[in-house]
Amino acid sequence: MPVRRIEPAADYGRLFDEVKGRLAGDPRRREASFARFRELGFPNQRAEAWKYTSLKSLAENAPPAPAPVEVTLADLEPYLLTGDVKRLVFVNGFMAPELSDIEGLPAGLTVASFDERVTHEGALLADADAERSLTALNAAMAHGGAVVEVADGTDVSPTLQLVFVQAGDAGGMANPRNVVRVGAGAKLTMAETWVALGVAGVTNVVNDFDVAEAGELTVDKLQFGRGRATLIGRSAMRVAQEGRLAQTTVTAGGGLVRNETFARLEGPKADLDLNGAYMPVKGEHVDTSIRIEHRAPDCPSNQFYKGILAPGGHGVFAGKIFVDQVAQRTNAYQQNDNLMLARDAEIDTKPELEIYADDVKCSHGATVGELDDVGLFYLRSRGIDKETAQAILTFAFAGEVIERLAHEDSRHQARRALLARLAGGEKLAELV
Amino acid sequence: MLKIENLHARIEDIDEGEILKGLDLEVQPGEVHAVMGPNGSGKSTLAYILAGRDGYEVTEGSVRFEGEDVLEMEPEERAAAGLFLAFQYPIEIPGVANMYFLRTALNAVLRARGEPEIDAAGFMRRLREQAEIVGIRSDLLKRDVNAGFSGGEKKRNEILQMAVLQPKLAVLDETDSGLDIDALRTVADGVNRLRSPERGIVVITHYQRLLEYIVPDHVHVLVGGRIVRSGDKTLAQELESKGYSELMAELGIAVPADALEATA
Repeated sequence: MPVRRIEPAADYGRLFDEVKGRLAGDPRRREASFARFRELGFPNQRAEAWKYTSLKSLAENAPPAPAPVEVTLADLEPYLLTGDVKRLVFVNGFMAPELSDIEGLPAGLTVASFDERVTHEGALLADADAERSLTALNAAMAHGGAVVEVADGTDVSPTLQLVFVQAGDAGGMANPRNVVRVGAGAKLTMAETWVALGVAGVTNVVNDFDVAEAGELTVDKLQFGRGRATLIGRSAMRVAQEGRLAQTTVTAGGGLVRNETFARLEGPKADLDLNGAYMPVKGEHVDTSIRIEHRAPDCPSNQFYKGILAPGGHGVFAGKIFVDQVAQRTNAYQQNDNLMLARDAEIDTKPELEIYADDVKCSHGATVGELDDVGLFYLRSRGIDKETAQAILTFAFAGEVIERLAHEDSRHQARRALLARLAGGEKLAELV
Repeated sequence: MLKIENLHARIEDIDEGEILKGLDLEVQPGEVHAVMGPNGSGKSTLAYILAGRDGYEVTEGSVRFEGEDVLEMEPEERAAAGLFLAFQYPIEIPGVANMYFLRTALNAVLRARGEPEIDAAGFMRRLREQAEIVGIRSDLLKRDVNAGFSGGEKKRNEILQMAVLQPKLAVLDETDSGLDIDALRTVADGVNRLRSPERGIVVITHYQRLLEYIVPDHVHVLVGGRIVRSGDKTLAQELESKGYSELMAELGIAVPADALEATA
């Protein structure tokens, strides 16, 4: 059997020793998770799910322990949502009360820090993905993150924004964990924002989203990295009968960003909608890895991802739709379109279907292309210079995904971030 | 204002020889010229070469616009100099609002000419005025460029762009194709309003129909990559009654049969 693991550097033991004193919850559980992590090791590229993404550098160089760094509201202002919003901010995994605002939550909405809750509810650390080493690592060191609960039948009006900030250039590792439970017939819109203010550091986040019967959860996932800043995220999603979960991810920056989604449609007519846009530039690597399991009949699911690959950027998309034999009348759609802005950009895209029911509609498609010459000529023939014409067409390509973000400020932030990464983007400022 | 001399051109990467084989055409300000020709005679090639589309190689001859060498200019420089091509097949650009596109284009052209850019309010006034003239519904201004437009709406949108950009010389490439009679009238009306002593217009068409509404000062017959006959508006009528084949026979020019089939 091939070896599919990379031995974590001995320094991970040092890292665990340094952080464990401040971890909430049962220390024995933490020790057990850490032992499990050591045993599993990091996945190497012979593991199919990691074929195009290397964790070698992370495995061989344990990041330092995270430390609190002072961050001001002004630093975060470009990334915050405005209007009717409640907010929790974590800096390097440490909750930052002065940057947060969860006063006066509406009835039926509970928001607590993960650390506070895990003290009493050890089960929050229970390992859903026992075979995933990064989840074990998170379980061992989980610190920061939120536990959000929406009571049955509650339609939450404010948008809840969770902000995870990597600050300072020391390059510490944060392991936040979020648990979101939307009750039966309840509704919540949230934003999960990752911001790297420094050029290094690692965030290894694990999300657990649960939508009960006829509940509705909408998530704007905004990722603003820079330099070598690394984000590895895993979202487990479960949607019950007639529930709905819609998430739109925009990735604008990060040395290494890995977005894993493992979703299960567990009851009839559960509905899942996953959208994403990513634009890696030189030296950046953005990997989207999705598995959707249809475990009940009459469920629609949709994946709509668009990649803009700037010179020297590397994108990976792997989406799998699994349809159980009971999941008749499944309607699953997957599309991944990529726009290559240069020859030295790279995209590896792999749609995949695994179907055990006989009455299903499943479609998947992947495209890789360049800007349309005829469209460029059309714009230029009207007097628009070549660089601007290219920027307009590139921006328009991502527009269809950006429009799906729920909050107006999310769309605004996403447009601004993409334009900032685009040659000639400054000329389109009025489109933001 | 436009002077084409002995223009020879071929399509790059296709080994089919020249499409234009020594074309001459001169347009003065205030004139409307019609270039008529059967399929494959080089009409669209001429239009694209004037606008600067990639993929065509000029092997001989010259094109000058107000004394400048057009062939040396980028497409956007040609637009700024006052050249405009109304496309036979306007391009759909999903994700770009028509209004934004028009304003960006107008401001780019104004900037290139050293004139002040137009503000949003001023632009909207100009746009609404022109849109009404060419019969474009205001919801089409908000929609993405040509996306989901009918054939007629796309052609009207071309004329709207022309009206907004106010070019010195407009080339209309088969603007009549795919239009019903009402749309044809509206489009022709829009073009006629742009006729002025300073502006030149070249109408490229297969049929005489459009020329009943946009009455040309000069008519040229393009066959086999060359202008084989020029005359006044009566030439168009003569062509309509005789067809290309009879006219060619009179001139002693052999034309491939397949190019003439659609002319009956």
